[in-house]
Amino acid sequence: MSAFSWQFLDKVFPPFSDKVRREKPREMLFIVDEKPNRSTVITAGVQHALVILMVIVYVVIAGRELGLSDAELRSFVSLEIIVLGAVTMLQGFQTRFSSGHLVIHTPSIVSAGTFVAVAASFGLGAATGGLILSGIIVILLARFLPRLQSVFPPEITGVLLVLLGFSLVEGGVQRFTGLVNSEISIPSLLVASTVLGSIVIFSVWGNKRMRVFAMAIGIVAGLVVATLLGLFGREQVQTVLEQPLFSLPFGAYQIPTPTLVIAAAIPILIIEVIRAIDSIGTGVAIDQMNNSKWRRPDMPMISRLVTCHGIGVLLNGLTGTLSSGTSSVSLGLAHATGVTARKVAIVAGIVLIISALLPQVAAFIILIPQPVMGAIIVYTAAYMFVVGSQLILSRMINTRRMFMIGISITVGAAIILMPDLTANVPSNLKPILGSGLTMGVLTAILLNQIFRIGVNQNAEITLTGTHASSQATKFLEECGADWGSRADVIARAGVAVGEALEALNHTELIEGPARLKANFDEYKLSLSLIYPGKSISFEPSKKLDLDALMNEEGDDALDAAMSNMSGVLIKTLADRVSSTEKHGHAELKLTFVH
Amino acid sequence: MSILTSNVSGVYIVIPNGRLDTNTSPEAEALITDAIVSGETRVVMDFSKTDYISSAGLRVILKTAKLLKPMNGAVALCNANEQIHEVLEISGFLSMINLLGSLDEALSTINA
Repeated sequence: MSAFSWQFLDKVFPPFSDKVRREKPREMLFIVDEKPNRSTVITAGVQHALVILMVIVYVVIAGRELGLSDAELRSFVSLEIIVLGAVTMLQGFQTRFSSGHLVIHTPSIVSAGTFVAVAASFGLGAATGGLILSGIIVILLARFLPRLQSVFPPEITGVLLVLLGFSLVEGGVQRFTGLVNSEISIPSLLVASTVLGSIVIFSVWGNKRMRVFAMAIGIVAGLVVATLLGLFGREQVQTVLEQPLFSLPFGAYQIPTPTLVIAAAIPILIIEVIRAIDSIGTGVAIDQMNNSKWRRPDMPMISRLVTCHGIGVLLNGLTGTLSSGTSSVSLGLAHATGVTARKVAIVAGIVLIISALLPQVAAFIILIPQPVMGAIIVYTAAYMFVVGSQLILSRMINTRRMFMIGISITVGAAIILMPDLTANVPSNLKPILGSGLTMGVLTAILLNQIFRIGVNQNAEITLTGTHASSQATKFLEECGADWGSRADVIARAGVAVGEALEALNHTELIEGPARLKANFDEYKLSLSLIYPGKSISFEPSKKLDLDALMNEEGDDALDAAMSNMSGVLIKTLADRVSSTEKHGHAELKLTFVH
Repeated sequence: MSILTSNVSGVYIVIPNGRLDTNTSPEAEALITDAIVSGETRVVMDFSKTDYISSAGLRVILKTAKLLKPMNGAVALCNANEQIHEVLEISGFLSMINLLGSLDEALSTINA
């Protein structure tokens, strides 16, 4: 390659570098670059691969919706597993296209509905064409996507998940109850109830490890009941045993020739961009898990993680499989095992690829009875409702956001619950106008942009009188609601400013009313407390010996300890603190990572 | 700020309303000190109506514990919101003073 080509490559995809100074959190055993022994790496890698194989049932559900035969479905499932394994392995390597962290890829239930709807209207080729286009766009935008977080704030993902929950209810309940011609099947109900009950029991009352494997335990319990009721047995086992021990996953499933149909590509692109932005959350979480002194996201690493996410989507498009993304369940497993060494991702990837070459694995997964699938879909719908609501409520709500969230969920739910509404829509617009998920999310994006008009991201107040501290808290809460900030960050900022005002008054460094300036972007909340007087400096934090204080005579030691406590609180609550003084005015700057 | 107080089964309960900061902590400290001087030896600070606590509020808790120590008394805290919990955690108070989820739990802990 010429020097120019290398320069261009370095600019678009900067080479791997890791300048983060990490301190291992107490609860972790091996962090990113540590080298656990071989058995630990293999055990952790196999566990991660098993978690992903558990959720392959979603691929089966989508494949069935696409009308694939059993033989085609086996190929479809195996190809999906190979892509997941390859991208997971890539994440574990330190390259310019990957995070160099333990990031595991999983099939995306969020994208499945749109993928199936597009394939139904325009054919699989148009759906895979949409995925290829989305993958390329995500790869090219990887460096800039984190900056688009204000266009796709968490509440839009929340709306997406709530609507996904709605869209899963019908198919899930139908399989759960075995409902045909208004008749409920009691055996189906028993099997599905066993699966859902087991998942709930192990999730609620199980220990950390049991919780991670709750779905697998539920599937096994459901298979036992299905066997006892004659819904699963010799015939299915025979089909699994008939499979060869080893084969390449090509042949039965004809990889569709990708075609670019704009009406088909748009809904897929919207969902994929939102999911790529969501994977930033995975990057932040794994970054935090590796560093007890974590202060701010490692953006170069997160950009590489998103690049790898895009490569995964591109490979899904090229192989005609369901879109994949980073797994949040695996983050839970990494925390539970205490191992986030990147080598685990490489091993998990290898295990996934090997299992894709064993046709018996795919054959077994696709023969899982419908009521078991129904229970998993119902569980997923319930989970989506809760996670979506949590995301929506993670930001402070004002009238604008209330309408943005409420109207977009209503639009999406209306299309899902009232199919007649879009029955006469031209077939080429059906994947967009007929999809509650797409229309709900588009409404949310549009309203979010409209409601941002006239909202100033800078605000200022003069704090007067003895109640300056409560005045500052109220001001920050109002700003937070207008900006859609995280409630916990605003609350922390309120406590830090209140503490700063107390410290300034106590030390008599402030000689008049203070002005509080606030500035917000999606990454940080910056506050400046400007006041006439001298700058404050906080002494190095001393560990408070509360027992010794109890035995001191008088209150002097108590007062001194509490004076030091102000600095401890401010420096712990804020991510950055600095203080300057010029021409009789001082400025205390507090920065909070958002 | 109004501070509600009550006595349940020999336990003096203090319920600060709103903010426990430099403006309001002298009132809280005076109420608790008077109660201890009058013979109360077990104190529960119930934060169910408290939004905010500053280092001045922390001083009240520490002073209460200090006053009760020679009398073999006890102090417990309950119903702290997330911010108050965080402030108590950062300050190291949680290693020394019991923080319970409800008033009932605080009463049974302090009476145990």
